[in-house]
Amino acid sequence: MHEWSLANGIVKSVLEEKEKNRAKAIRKVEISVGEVSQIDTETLRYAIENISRGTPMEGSEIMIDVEKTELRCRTCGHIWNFDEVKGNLEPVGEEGDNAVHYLPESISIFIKCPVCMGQDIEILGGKGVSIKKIILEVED
Amino acid sequence: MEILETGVDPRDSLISANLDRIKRVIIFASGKGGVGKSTISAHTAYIMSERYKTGILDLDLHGPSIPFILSLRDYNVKEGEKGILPAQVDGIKVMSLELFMKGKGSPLRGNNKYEIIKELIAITDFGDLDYLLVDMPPGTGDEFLAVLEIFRKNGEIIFITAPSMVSWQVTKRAIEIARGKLIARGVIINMGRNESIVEECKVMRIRCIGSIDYYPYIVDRNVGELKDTDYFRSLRELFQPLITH
Repeated sequence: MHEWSLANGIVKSVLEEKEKNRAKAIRKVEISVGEVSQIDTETLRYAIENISRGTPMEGSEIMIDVEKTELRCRTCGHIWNFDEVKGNLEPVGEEGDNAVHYLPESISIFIKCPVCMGQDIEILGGKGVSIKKIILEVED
Repeated sequence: MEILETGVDPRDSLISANLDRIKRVIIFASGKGGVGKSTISAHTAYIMSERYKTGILDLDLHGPSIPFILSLRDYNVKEGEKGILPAQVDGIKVMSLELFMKGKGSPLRGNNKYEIIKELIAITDFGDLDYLLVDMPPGTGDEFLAVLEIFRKNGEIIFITAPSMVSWQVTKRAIEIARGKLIARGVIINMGRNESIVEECKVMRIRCIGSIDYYPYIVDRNVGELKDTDYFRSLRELFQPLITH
């Protein structure tokens, strides 16, 4: 669970954007979380709210969307949902998380295509965590 | 009142905060494989860790060898408040994709490698370091370009070449690609000496730091056993002028 470190990065980035744009206020932050990263969105939200307390981000609307992840085998073309293989990923961490949680783009190391056993796998759709939109209020 | 919409990658802030806590980043690169980048970077980390807070980042995503050279085994990823904690061996903080993939192969394409490198640097909490050494894979593709971008502010680079002209002609290309993007500290000729390379370094206006003789099988030996060898003495001599703040 590295939601707290991600939350740190999000709050820091938003505050930097506010400064850079000399904005008066941060109205809304839209965050996208790829399903493959297996982020606990409630923990992420809690961490963001906690870290942003006492900063200009406190009280801003936080929207977190989870983007579904599909996987495509480049060898045979088979497409399947990440849901189907999530349970097969071995834990690497002391907290029981798998490597894909930390490094989503490493998924081809850990899974095989269920049809041809190929490992040239492409992630379609949601990957890691990104700030899609920050809505700032700026002076005219 | 005007509304402004913008989007950012939160990893950029994490990378910036992490790098702010590291005094010097030294990248070991070549362009050519099998010239001893991993061996020299791992052993140099060992030497530096005797006096300085040192970390090593293994970016050879297809053939990570730093954990093996440093005899790091059975590591389970641990988390701290600010990210993943690197493994520690002989006082050196180590991060490598191998800590996650544990012996598996890595069939990775271009942009995925860039993303993994960015992610590794963003989520690894090396803490306060005097030196972070970065071991590069061969080639001047995705990993090399990612490093030129991420460490462009104050990254330093040392090029390793074997004494053959075949190795050198590849290394020269890497030197040219990195020129102006990272601080070039110089060239080390590993496993022998070649006066032609020394001369060409002058022409290319890059310092030839020196050469290291060929010592067979050192990479397979436990690093602690090498402390009193001629090989370690040459490494210490080469790096002494480079590791003073």
